[in-house]
Amino acid sequence: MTEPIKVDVWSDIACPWCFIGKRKFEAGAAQFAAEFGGEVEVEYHSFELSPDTPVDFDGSEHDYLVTRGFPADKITGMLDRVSGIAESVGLHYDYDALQHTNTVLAHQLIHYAKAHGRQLEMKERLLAAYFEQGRHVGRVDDLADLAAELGFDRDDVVRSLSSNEYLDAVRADQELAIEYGIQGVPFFVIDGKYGVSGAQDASTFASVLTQVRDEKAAVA
Amino acid sequence: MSDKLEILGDPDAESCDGEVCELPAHREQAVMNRRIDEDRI
Repeated sequence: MTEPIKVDVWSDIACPWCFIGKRKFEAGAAQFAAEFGGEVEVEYHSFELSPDTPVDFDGSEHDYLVTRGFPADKITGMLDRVSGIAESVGLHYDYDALQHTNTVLAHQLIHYAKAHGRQLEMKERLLAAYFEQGRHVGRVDDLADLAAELGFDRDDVVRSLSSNEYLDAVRADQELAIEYGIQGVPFFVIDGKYGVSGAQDASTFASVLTQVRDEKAAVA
Repeated sequence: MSDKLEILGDPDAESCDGEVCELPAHREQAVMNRRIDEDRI
């Protein structure tokens, strides 16, 4: 039995390719497991694509992108294309319902869940809440509701988020991203050695994991 | 990119850079548009 391959993933919640990339990575890891019985240990790290985003924005994603200088006549087609690719991996993005927001508190909640041994569950819940369910993921009460739905102690989540308990952990992740030179997400660091950027095909992830497995076997 | 990592995979795979999350064919132009916008500010 070989030890799991560590995969560190930098990702944001408000990042359509991060959710799609998550599904593709999971498919690649499943291929790797099916072919070699290989295991991976995944840890998510915080990355804020747009830290100056307001917590509340009164309008649609289309409206928001217009305020940020994107050409209005291109936005609908752009979002449709992204939604189509999301559908191809089983995700149902709902840009009409999506509530654009700042994600720093959501990142803190992921760290909170990590401290309770449930980071992956929280990451998945937040991405689905944001892209598929039109839930707000930028306010303490909304995030506490989501956490309570997963069985977390709502009052303790409110306490943690209200006191910015894990803000330093978020910043530490961001510092590490800078050290690695990460500018875009999703970004996968595999075995602390290989960098894989973006929502790659599942076969690419499987191939990199296999390469790492073979290298480890060669030196064992 | 840091020399700590060896980069593997398709360099054109979709990713978000700042608020730019388009498909690759559109990303370069969108980044350029944003930079022009920022310079104007």
